[in-house]
Amino acid sequence: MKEEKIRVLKLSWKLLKFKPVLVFFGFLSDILFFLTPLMLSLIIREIFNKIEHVSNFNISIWVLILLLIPLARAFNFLADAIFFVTMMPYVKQAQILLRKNMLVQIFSLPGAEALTDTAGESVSRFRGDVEEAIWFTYEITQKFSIAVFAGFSFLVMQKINWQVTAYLSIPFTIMIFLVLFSKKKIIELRKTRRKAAGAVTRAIGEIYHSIQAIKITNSEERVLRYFDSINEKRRKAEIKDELFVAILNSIYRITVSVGIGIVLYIVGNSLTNNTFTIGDLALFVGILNSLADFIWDIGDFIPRYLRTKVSYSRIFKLVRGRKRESYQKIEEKLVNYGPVYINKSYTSQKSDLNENYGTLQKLIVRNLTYIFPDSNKGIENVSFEIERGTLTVLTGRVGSGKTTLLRTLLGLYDKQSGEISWNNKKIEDCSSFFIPPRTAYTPQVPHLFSDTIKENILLGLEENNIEIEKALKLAVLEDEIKKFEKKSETLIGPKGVKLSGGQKQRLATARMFARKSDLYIFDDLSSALDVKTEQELWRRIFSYKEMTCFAVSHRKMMLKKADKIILLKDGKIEQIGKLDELLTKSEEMQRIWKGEI
Amino acid sequence: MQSQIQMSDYWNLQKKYLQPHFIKVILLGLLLLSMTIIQVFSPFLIQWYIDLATENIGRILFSSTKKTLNFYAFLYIILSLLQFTIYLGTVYIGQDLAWSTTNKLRYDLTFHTINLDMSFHNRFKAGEMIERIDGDINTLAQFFSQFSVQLLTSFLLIIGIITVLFIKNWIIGLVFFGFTIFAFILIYFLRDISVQNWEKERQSSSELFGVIEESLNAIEDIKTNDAIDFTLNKFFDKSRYNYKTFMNALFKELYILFGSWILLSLADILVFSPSFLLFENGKITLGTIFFVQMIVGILILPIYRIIRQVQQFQKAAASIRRITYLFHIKSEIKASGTKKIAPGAIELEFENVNFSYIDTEPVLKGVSFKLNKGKKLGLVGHTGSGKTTLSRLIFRLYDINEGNGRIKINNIDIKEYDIKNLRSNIAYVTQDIELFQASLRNNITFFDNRISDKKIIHIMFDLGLKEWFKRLPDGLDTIISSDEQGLSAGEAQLLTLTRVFLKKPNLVILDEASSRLDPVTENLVKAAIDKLLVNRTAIIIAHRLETLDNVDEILVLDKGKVIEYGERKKLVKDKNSYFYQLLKTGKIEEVLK
Repeated sequence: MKEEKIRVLKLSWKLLKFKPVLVFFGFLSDILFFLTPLMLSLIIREIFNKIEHVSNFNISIWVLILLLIPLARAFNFLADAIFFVTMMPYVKQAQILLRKNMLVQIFSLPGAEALTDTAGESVSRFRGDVEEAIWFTYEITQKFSIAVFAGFSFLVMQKINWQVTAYLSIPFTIMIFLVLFSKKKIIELRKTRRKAAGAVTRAIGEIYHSIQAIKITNSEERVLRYFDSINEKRRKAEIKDELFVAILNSIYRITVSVGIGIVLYIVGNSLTNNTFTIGDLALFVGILNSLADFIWDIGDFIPRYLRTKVSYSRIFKLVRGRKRESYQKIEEKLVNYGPVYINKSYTSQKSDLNENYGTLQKLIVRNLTYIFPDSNKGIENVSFEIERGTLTVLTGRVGSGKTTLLRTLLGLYDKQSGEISWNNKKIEDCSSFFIPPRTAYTPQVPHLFSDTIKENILLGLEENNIEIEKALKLAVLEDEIKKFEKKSETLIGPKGVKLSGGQKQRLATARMFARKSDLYIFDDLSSALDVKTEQELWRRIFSYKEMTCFAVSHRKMMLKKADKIILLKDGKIEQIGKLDELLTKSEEMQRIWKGEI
Repeated sequence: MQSQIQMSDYWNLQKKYLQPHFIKVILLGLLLLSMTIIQVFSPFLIQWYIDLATENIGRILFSSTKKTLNFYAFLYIILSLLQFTIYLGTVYIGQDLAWSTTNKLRYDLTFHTINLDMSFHNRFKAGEMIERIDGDINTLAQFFSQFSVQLLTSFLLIIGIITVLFIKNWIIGLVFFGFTIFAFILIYFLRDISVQNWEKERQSSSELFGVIEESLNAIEDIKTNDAIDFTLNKFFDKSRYNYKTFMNALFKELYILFGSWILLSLADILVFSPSFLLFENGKITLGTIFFVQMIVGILILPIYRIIRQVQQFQKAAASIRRITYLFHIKSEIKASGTKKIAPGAIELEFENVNFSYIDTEPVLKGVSFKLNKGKKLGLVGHTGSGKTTLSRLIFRLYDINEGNGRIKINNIDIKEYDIKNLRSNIAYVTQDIELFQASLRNNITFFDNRISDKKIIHIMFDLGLKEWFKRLPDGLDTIISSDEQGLSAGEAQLLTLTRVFLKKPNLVILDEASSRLDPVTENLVKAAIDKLLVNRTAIIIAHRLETLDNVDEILVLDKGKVIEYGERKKLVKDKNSYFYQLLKTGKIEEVLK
């Protein structure tokens, strides 16, 4: 597919306008910052002129030395301080905005197919790529400030001596081009270097991962030789990169020296007849030094631009998921302004559920179809009904499409066809409809937050409306929680208690029960729970007669208890009915019952 | 061992690795020295130039004077060219030293640690070794080659500058001597004023991205629990915290900027005030003032550099400590045996073997059995019963402690065999395959280039990997890695089998694939294994009952104890045996739970 165009400058401009006041004053502070070396050079010129008694200004040299120099340097400090309270807050806030828009956009995608890459890789786009994109917006303003400085410097210098200025422009122009063209090479070298360094890191990991195999096969020495060859490659890449940067560095330092040499060469005569003073010489030396630094900065622009473009394309690919929305639409969503809550807590702008549908009497699914884009697996033309107060069990062999069916029903996959209705009313958007208090759901592998057990159950609900203890008990988790010192305030995750797979699943189940819902949907609890715990869990659930449950399972107990069994095979419904019916009618059911599959 | 790093530790390490590069070190020192000299000398040219030009103010220049002036300008350019050429030399030699020495250190540390026994590797996982071998040694890289030299030349430069200033005029010399001391104190006190704040910022930022990662992982949970707002709230909380810590760190930076404002303003004031007075009294020339201004500009840099090196030293000290700690660990496996295993199938005997890893429950309790030449033993037991440990002991990945039983091969304690010979006589087939990001060839031969491609391909085709192999873009040169080439469980097992067929083992330990293979691969694996087992003694860790049809003996292991051991033929008929139960119910895991 053809790559769509990314308009980096347009996006950047839109982002800059997010906080126009901060950006404007940040820009001014930058100009002040870049102009101070010029001011300083002018003051030092005056000092030398005073010493030489050729000054036209009627102020004391002591004022220049003791007052104006510190003052000019103070401007530099002041510029930094202003920058810190204007441009930096803008940069940080714009980052938050971009990240928030990315998150919101990802959450709007069908949940089970939102990420096209691993979460770890996706996070790197929230981190590095967002930073790159926002810093670039600042870079644009910075280049303008540098241009202002360069312009002023040129004006001052040519006013003092246009001839010298004209000569000086030659080496500096050459340097600008050198810097511009070499920056690409730097990026290239840096890439090779990073790759070589990455190879070393990876090799170490691989060696210690396969240590047992290495020992068993007596390969220690050979593996070390291999390791050495990778190290050697890296050494070369590192030296090459460092040396190239050093060469560039030298070139621009040499340009300054050559510039000074040129000035000395030309002004010999003028110095003796006082048309060019020692102060002028000091001024030229001062300006040349700072000019070189800034040209170095300007050379950065093109490679920065290219890198930013890559970052945007990585961000775009992340947030459009598999839906392949046009870049233009995504652009708008990404730079959509909104509060970034740096001083106060976030407040939801969500409107209440549309309650017109009423409490569940009957859920009807007609011809539901979802086929995975990159294989021809999935579910096809699935139709069934769920009635209030019943237990419906979804069963079938591994890969028959059970999880896909649940996810498509819940809008976690975008259904390709079919109709779902709640109390005979058609549902438009499954994803926003199937949420508590209508349905609650536990995925096969639930994901929890590194937070307290309580927070993981509440997920933002008001605590006093929720019966946490009851939910934990229903999920057969109360005994284990009691053993924790801080009970339900216990922190879980890497910084706290590490829960087992079964505990995680029961916590997710408790989370589900905490939300009083019309329909409870379970994806195979048996994958992480042992038989006894699972039986106890269901026993507690069944003690509530009015609960409506829809569960994936192939446990005998569940199949016996079910009011209705939906048997899936190869993504299609094989049979629907009670257990004894199915056992007589369906060979597939018999196999599942015998545990052959 | 975790004590404070001694300077002697540092010197020893540095000496050991720098000694082979003695000449380069000397050369680097010389280059840096000459660079310093040029740096101090160049401003003299400008002074002479100015002095000569101002002497002649108001006069017409003689052509000889004009020539001298031009000569100074010319020399100034030449010297700066020379200076930067030397600079490039120092960068090259410095980098070369840094990487040659640390590569050697990396090699040595890897060499040392991979030869340590498995109890070390259980304690230090791959991630930590990356931190040591890559992270810590990287910290040392620049430091190692440059610390002494940089420190030396920076001091030299400072001393050179102050000496020159003293020679020019003792008052100016004294003033800048004082200034240098003041600068050191100021920079030293400001050096890590913001470090803690930045540390906090990093912390908050990793928390923020932690929340984002969790949210992305939990999209399914979030959407179905109507928790998008909750997630956004968490995101904004962490963002806000990150914003605050960032701004705090930034404000701390202002102290540093304020410090350099004081320093730079002071430098300017000190350049002009005394000089102006001395000039008015005819003590110094205009050129000298210019000279002082230029050279003081150079003075501040080495001060910063010295302080940075000192900071680096503190960081490096921690790394050196961790590295020397690893070097001090000794392997517990004594590789002192010299005997060689006689060719042909072997006899294997466990004599009342007890074993436990450090600080854990005993994993094997009084395990005894004797497997005759060419016999096959089926090892059954559920996860954690000690099956894997049992096989590891045969390889001497761990050693049994004195008095805790013996393992004998052909009636000789395995500790008496040469360890390499022992390992090359045993093959281990598992479904877990760890791959290197390297060519397929290297992944099969483990970088043994004595093995011909023909032989490898022959074995692969024999094992039925022809179709898979044909699909690879570059044949044996195809770079494979665990994440990219998507090996199925069956293919992984076939690859390990290829590795095994390259050597001629006398004992085969086979950890059967527990996941289900597709029928075609399953048959391939089965055929290959049958072929492998011919005329060899074997231990088969079985996950499926069919596998046990072909073994001679059965050993059932439960919580480290042998609960049943006997000939398969007899056990099949014994209704009280576990094995009989197994065959009846058909499920290994359930019977043994």
